[in-house]
Amino acid sequence: MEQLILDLKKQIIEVLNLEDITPEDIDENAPLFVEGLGLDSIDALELIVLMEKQYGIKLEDPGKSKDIFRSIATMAEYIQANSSR
Amino acid sequence: MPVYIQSAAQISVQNPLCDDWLIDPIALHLPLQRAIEADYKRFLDPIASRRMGRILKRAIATAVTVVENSGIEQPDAILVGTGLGCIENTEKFLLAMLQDGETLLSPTYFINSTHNTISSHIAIHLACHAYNSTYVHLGISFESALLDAFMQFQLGRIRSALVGAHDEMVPLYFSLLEKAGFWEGKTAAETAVSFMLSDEKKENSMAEIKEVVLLHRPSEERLMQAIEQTASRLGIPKEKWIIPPSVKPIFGESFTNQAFELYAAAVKLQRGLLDDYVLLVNNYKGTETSLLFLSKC
Repeated sequence: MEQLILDLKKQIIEVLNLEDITPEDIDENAPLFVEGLGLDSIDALELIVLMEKQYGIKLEDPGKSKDIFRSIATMAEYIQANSSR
Repeated sequence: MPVYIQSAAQISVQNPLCDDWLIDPIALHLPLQRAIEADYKRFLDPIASRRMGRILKRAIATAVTVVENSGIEQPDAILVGTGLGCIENTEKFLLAMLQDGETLLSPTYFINSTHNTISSHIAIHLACHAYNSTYVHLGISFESALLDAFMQFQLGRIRSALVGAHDEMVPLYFSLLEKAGFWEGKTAAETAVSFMLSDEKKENSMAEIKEVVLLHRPSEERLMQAIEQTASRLGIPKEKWIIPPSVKPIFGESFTNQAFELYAAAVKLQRGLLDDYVLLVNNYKGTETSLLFLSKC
């Protein structure tokens, strides 16, 4: 799980082009949206693409997105339970 | 109505946002030279800039600089000319499309690959709701934007305008241009130039734009006629209009390098380094020709 969280942090920094932020700067339990990293709706789309591209997870139920993308820790839990890779 | 250049700023192969090129220009050695970037942290916070490609950052930095230098915070129009638009993000978007079989496409590259993203980003950054338009006409893109501004001034619709020319050049696209024989023996470079224009002559005004003329496939006779007629209408004999040496050896070439010719002429006119009346002629591949008539203030 620790490795998965670190990988996710690196992938999010890269895909969202978070300049001057390192994996160590990100608290995996902090909210991703509004607070914490302060992400927005376009970032949410990028994260959905990341989940499918890197982990083969296609999010079918939009209602679950809020819980999945609450934090990096919740994303990692969902990936571990559902990844096809 | 007179149109004055109140401020101008550039990011190019020369040192950014300054006139160092005038005294100590950086020599161009490569067939393709990318721009020297400015310190964008002064203009943009990291959250705002993280989705922006380099062309957008350059556009914002030059636009904010002319706003600051001119004191005109809310121009009556924002007009941009670009030959290729955000080609770097367009390329990334298309490559991802190929690699991923047209699925899983990044929304950011898509959003930032449209040509009018540049003028839109400037408007959003300045919170400016005024007239906003983008011209994409390859070699006369900048002059088209400038002509629009000039006509709006003459119609009395605007009293100030932020006019810019912004172009990227990326290695893959450049290699295709070279293979097609489109860029033989020239240094391809990138353009980011912004001008603040207004109808009010001020102490620091750089130059006056007297006339902007665009001609489609003019014969030599038609071209000379256009110069003579315009000179006559402006009340200055044809012989007094001097065509200065091109600054392409200093700034390289792009689809919008005429913006550098205007920028350099304005800087030199302000410093008394050119005669009073300047004519800038741009002929794009034998098809479109532009004439810019300038004078010192």
